[in-house]
Amino acid sequence: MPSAVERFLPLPHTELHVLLALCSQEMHGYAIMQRVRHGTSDQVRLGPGTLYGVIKRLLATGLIVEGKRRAAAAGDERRRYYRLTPLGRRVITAELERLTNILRAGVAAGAIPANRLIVEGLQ
Amino acid sequence: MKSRRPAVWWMLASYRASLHLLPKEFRREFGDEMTLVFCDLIEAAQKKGRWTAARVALAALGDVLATAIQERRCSKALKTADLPRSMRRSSVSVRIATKTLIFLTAVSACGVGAKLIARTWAAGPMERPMKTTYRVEEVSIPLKEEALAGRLLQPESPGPLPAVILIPGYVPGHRLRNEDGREGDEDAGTALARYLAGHGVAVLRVPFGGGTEQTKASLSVGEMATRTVACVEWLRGRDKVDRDRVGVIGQSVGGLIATLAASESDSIAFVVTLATPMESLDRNSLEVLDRALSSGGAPEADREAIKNMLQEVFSAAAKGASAQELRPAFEKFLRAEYPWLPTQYRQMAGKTADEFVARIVDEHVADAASPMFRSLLGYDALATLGKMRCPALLLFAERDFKVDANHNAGLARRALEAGGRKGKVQVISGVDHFFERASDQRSDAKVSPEDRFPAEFFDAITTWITTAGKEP
Repeated sequence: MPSAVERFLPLPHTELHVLLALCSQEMHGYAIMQRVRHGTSDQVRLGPGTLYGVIKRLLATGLIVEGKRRAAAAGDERRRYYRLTPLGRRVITAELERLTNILRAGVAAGAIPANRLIVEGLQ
Repeated sequence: MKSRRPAVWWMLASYRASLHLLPKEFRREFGDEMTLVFCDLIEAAQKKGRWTAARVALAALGDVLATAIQERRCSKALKTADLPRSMRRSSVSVRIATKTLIFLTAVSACGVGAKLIARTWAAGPMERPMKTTYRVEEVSIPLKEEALAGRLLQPESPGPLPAVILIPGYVPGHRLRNEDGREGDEDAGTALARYLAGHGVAVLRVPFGGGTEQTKASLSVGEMATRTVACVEWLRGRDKVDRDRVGVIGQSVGGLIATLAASESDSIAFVVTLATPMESLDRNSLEVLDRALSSGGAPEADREAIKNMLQEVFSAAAKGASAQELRPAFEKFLRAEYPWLPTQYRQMAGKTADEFVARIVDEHVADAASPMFRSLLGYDALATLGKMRCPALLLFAERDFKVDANHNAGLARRALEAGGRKGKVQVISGVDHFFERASDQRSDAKVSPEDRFPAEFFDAITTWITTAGKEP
C-alpha cells in the first residue's frame, strides 16, 4: 500500500516544475511561469492553459492551496497566489530524492560522465 | 483596454473567445486569471518586437486548444460514471469538433492579421539572430604559462556565429563569482550570457585572474588584457564561430580590460563596456566616496580630510606597500568614514565602527596590495579608448552610484571624438551599476531577466553584436 506521498510519484514534469517554483515563496500564475522558464534556462515554457490545468490538479490533490489575495499596492489585487502545503513539500522532496537516485544510477552505469554533474551555476 | 493598440486588442479578443473551448467550470474558475497572464505575456513579448508578440499570442491560443482537449477528456472520464457512455461521447466529440473548426478559422484569420500588422509596425531593418537553445561546455584554453578553465555557451543554431568573451567586474581572484555578493537568481553577467546564447551568440566566460578556489593572486589589467587576446584567438579557431565577429564585453572594470585588449589586437571585432569608469580607480573611488559622504551629511572639511586619508592609502599602495603596511592607514580611514556613511549602508556594514572595520579591513587591504588594484591606480582609461582598433559600445547606467553615468558618458564621448574612434555612448535609464532596474521600479513577484533588466539593455548589446559595430 503506497504511502500518502508515494502515491503521487513519479510526478509529471509540469507538476514537478510548478511545485519547484513554489518552493521558495507563494506566487501568482505569471510569476510561476517566469520562474519555471527562468529556472530551466528557457527549456520549459508553460502556456496559461497548461499552467492552470496543472494548478487545478495540484489544488484538487492538496499539494498546493490558494494564498491570501494581495492588496492593490502589492500588485494586481485580482491575482490569485498559490503556495505549497506541507504535503506538497514532502512530495517534492521525495520526487527529488527519486530523481537523484536515478542520476546516481546513471553515473554508476557510465551513461553520464560524473563531471557533467557540475552544471552551470552550481559551482 | 481602450489605450491598447488595435493589434493587441485583437489578440486579447481572440484569446478571450478561445477560452470558450474550455469546459465551463474550468473557464469560470481560471478564465480571468488566464486572461491576466496572457496580458502579461503579450506585454513582455512586445518589448522584443511585434513579431514576438504575435508568435506568443498564437502559441497561447494553441495552448488553450490543447488544454481544452485535455480538460474535456478529464471531465468526460468523470461523467461516464453517471451518464450513458455513447450519448456523452458523441455529444462531447461533436461539440469539440465544431468549436475547434470555428476556433482554427479564427486563429488563422488572427494569425494572418497579426503578421500583417507586425510587418507594418516592424521597427527598422535591424536583423536579429533567431532565438535558439544552447549547450554549456566546460573548455580548457591553453596559454603559454597555464591552461585556463572556462565555460562556453554554444548556441545550437547553425554557424558561423558571432562570439563574445564576457569579463565581469572587479572581483580579485575569483572572476566568476556573483558580482558584489548580491543574492537572487543570478548575477548580471550570467543573465546576459544566457540571453546572448539564447539569441545565437556564443559566449565564453573565463576566470582570468586565478582559479575559482581563490588560491591564486590576481593579475594586473595588462596581464588580463593579454589573456583576453589569447582567448579571442582561441575562440576564432572554434568551428562554428565566425572568426571576424569575435568581440569582448566588460562589466565595470572588466570594460577597462576589454578596451585595453582592443587597443593591442586587430582580432577583436567589437567591444561593449558596461558601466566602466572612464577615470582611474583612485579618482573614481574618491568621487564615489565624496558622494557617499555628502549623502551622509558630512561637512566639506570632513569630506576633504577623509578623502585625503584614502588618498594616502592609494599612494602607499602605488609604491608597493604590503597589506600589513597598508593596514593602519586603511583602518584610520574606515573609522573616519563610518559616522558619515548613509544610514542604510551603516546598518548593513556594522553596528559600530569597530565592527565595521573588523568586518572589511582584511579583505580590503589584501585587495589594495594586489597587482590588479595597483595597475588601476592612475590608469588612463581615456587614452586607451583613443587607441582602440575596433568600434565600441559604451553603456552607462543612469542610477549608478559607483560610476556616475553623465560624467563618465561625457568623458567617453569626448575621448572617442578626440581619437577619431568609431563608437556609441548610451545611458540606460532607471538601472543600477549592474543594469538591473532600481528596486522601486520592479515588483518582487516578477522574477524573469526581462523584468530585472530593461529590454533596452539587451537590445542595445544584441544589435551591436549582430552588426559588429556597423550600426548607423
